[in-house]
Amino acid sequence: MRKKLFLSLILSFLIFINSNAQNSNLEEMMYANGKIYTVAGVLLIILLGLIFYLIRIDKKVSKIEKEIKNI
Amino acid sequence: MKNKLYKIVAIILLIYSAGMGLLIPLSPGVKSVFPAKIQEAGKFEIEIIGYNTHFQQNQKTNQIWLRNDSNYISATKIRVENEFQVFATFNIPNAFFECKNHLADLIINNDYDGSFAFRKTIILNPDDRKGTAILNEIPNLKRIIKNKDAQFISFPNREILYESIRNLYFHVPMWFAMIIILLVSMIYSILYLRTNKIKYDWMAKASANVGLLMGCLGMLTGMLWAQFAWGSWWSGDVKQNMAAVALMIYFAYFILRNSLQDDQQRAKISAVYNIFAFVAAIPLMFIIPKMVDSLHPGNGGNPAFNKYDLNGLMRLVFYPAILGWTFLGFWIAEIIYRLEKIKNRLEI
Repeated sequence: MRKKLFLSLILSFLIFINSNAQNSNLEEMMYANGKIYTVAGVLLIILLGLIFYLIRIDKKVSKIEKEIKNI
Repeated sequence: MKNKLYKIVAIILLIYSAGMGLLIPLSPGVKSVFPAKIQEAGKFEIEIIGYNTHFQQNQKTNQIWLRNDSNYISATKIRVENEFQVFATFNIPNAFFECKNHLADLIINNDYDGSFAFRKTIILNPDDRKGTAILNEIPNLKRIIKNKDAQFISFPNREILYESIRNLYFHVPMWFAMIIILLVSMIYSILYLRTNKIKYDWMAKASANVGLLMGCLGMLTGMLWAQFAWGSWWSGDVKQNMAAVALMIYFAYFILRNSLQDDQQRAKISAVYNIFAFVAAIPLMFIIPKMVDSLHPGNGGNPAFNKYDLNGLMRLVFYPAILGWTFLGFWIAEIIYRLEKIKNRLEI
């Protein structure tokens, strides 16, 4: 459930970027100040990716913890 | 914490590379020039907006030229408005329009910023009057430029890239880390086939998993960078396509693993597949893009980053970034491996 929520969040974020990138402010922002926001975007992607991965590992650990309780 | 040392090194290197990569300023450049078109000979005042420049601080040493082919015209009057804004007056002779090019470069020099240029910025003549005039009386042509480089530490200011040159410390290390981690994964697979110890299989799986994560991050960050440097998310560049294929191959590795039930059988088959996957990924990502045209630097006749653009300072940040991300990858892989081990010990 939480995973689906997270994925849909990322998806909607990407769609938001894409729909905006065609003509409006977000694209302008990305080109502003010598394209520094491109770097910010890259950092954001890396951060989101690592968080996503961390959540996956966390889930695996919780699963094992549950099993230990059963034993 | 197990194997503390390399994790501490990873943290230090990542903080160092991200900090340096984001904080060091770009070297001075020109943002815009007005007017961008000059129709006829005469006296013109040109407004120049700089980026990271220090015009006011170095009012006495500012020098500004227009260049066309090898003909230089020096500004007769320079009026500094503030650090980033300067007005230069040029007396443009007729002969200047009769040079080969119809696009003049703007060159600026002062003691602190060093010299920098805005190439092909001013359109000289709308008519197609091509000639080979060489100016004879060029004022101040022989003036010696004292400082070529900026007097403060800075990253190169490149056209098109500008600040996004900093992505070199975040996007590129993803791929380097990926390939190193996948190499280690393949070595574990070989070790498994030689020794038949199941722990090597877990290690191979854990590293391949992290390698794939790095690859996906590299792909996504690359797409974002491509949109704002090349103009589209996916331009069908060879290296992009081939990297995508390589990632598919590794996705298939995990599908293969999940489809097999028996432990030993799964370990054996996936170990063999892993070796093939790595051997296939290398030519896809590093050899084929070098043979055909590619937008990436260092491929298909494009100059590599390290040939012209990567100065010593960038190397000082770039190489630690690679090491840092690689160690971070190994850290994550180690955790996944330990999880796998615990799972097995408990026989879940």
